[in-house]
Amino acid sequence: MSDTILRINNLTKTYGAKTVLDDVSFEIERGKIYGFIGENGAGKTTAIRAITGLSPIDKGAIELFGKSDAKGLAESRKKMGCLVERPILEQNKSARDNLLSQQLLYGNKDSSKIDKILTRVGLGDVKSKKVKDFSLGMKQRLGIAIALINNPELLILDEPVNGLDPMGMVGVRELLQSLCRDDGITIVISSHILAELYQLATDYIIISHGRIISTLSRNELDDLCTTHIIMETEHNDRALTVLANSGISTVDKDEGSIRIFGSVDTTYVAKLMYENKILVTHLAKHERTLEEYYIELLGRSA
Amino acid sequence: MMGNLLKWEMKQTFTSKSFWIIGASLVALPSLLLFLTILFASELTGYNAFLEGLNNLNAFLIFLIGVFAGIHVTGAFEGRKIQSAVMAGNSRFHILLAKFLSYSVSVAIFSLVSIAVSSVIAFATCGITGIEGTFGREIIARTAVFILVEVAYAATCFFSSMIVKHLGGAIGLNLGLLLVANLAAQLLLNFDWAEKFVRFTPVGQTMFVLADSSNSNIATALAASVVAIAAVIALSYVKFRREELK
Repeated sequence: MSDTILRINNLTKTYGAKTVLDDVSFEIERGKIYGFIGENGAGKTTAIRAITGLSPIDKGAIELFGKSDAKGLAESRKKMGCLVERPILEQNKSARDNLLSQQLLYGNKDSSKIDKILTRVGLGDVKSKKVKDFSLGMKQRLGIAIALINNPELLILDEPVNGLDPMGMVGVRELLQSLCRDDGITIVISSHILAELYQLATDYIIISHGRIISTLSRNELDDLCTTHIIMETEHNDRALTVLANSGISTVDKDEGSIRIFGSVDTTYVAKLMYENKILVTHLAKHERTLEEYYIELLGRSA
Repeated sequence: MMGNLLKWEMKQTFTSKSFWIIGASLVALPSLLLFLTILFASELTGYNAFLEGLNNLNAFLIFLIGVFAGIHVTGAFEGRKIQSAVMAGNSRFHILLAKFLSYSVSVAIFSLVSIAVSSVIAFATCGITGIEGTFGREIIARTAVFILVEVAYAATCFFSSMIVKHLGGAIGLNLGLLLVANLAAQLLLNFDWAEKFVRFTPVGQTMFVLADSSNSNIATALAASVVAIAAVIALSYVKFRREELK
């Protein structure tokens, strides 16, 4: 059964004459990692800022952990950890002191937790080092550590891998996957790096020009991205006959390979060839990347 | 309810460099000036020296409290501390109240310590002389009212620092505001009709409370301060409650 922890209903936000969020609605279910995708100025950060309370909304409603009134929303935000745009850090303090300060804000007195969190985000060895001497990646990880200090059920991260090198990105990805898998934390992450989001997220919310243009799960995305199956065999003519006899008609032959369109399962095709004693030398799904799908979607919405 | 927020805010304040540097300046400079006045003045009673100490504090407060307000309030927006408190699930009213309390407590501490040091210098060098009335009323009660008036006077900088979101701009505005308010009050006090009006403002009372310790003026000073503080909190909340936080 789905457990919706965040529900955005018809959210609208304007800055002067410019509408930056236009009737935005989506839901976040517990235990998933959501990729929040959109071009620069699409409204990702504005939506996140509205959820985190930094930006008042003009119309619509935000329901967080079942609460939608101002007092209830503020209270519910205690169950949420955030990293919006860039980490809020005191440069002249150590990583440990930054976490202690944030812990005080929540009234949490268990300082032993700080070392565990710092180790978890890979900063266990530099906990006493001043933040001003940290690299960008270390600051991002400390920002995530700060977001984790109050045992959040929902983690909202706005561009957390911005400026990170490939190894840094892998580190953050593994950390977030482990937080979701091992700690049951629901994560909403916005990023421009679609390849990174594709590897990380279980669900996607795509926003453009202030409007949600698609919400879909990883499986739905995979289905949408799969355009056809490519197969090569030792006897392509026989293979075409077998496919036709099996009712698969959306087939095309091209330079030694066969392309099968429609919702046909690769396992079924492989089995069919095996039963008819045709040696398959190559069988693969041809897929669009998330980036290709996203660009196509933007083209359609425009 | 807002206990954690208040503890966090107070810790941020008391561990900040601005608190200690401006606090030390507000204690050292008026005391030094008083010491020099006593050194060069002839026949100064302890009571007059005490009042001189209050006057010196008031003069330095005009310059230094604007800087402190800028760093404490505007700096908290620039450093995204306010944003951090919002995202941690605190109501904006509580955040504002905690910020105002930490600011006002700081001003009160600066004033109290400064007056205590000045009073020790005044009475130790000139003797406990010239007090027209009881020590409790003329020194202790007047100090308490003076501190409240200074807190109310300093509160105007709290509001202006809420408006300007650039540290340099906020400090500049605060200094300008305090200087203009002070000069305007001094000029207006030359006119009988204006005196009645100025008496009901904190800036006016920073001067009146030194000269007039009658019951009616003490009551006026208390009322003017409480109303000014309430007005600053209300106006600041109107500004802050739906403010876009960067």
